[in-house]
Amino acid sequence: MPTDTQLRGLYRLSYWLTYILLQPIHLVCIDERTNNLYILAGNAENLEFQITPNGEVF
Amino acid sequence: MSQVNYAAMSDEELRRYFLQHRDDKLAFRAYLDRLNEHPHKIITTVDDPDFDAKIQAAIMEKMQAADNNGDAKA
Repeated sequence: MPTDTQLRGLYRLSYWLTYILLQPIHLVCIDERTNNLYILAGNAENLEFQITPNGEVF
Repeated sequence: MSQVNYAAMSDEELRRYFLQHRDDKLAFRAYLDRLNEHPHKIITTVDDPDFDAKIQAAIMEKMQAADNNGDAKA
């Protein structure tokens, strides 16, 4: 399960991607090896983000 | 399913492959391993007061880069 911090980051990222930039989100999941939350988005499937359990976004 | 040679795929091919084969966890892991080999630039942190501005700038930059590479779908 994602941490509370990851969920807050996911909401804000989702908001920017879908509401402001009109970009679709294709996949949201946790890499159970690192526990990073992975997000794949974008019309060209080229917007990728990871959110670490303590809230770093890269 | 026959053995799939992930290593022979380009980054883009592997990404497309795991999107189309959601049950293939090994493909997704192979892709993430590849992604995580590169050094990461931390864009922001969730509690950063400038989160929105930094995220927006990063997304714009990525979209711009895709346009320049001709990756964006017509």
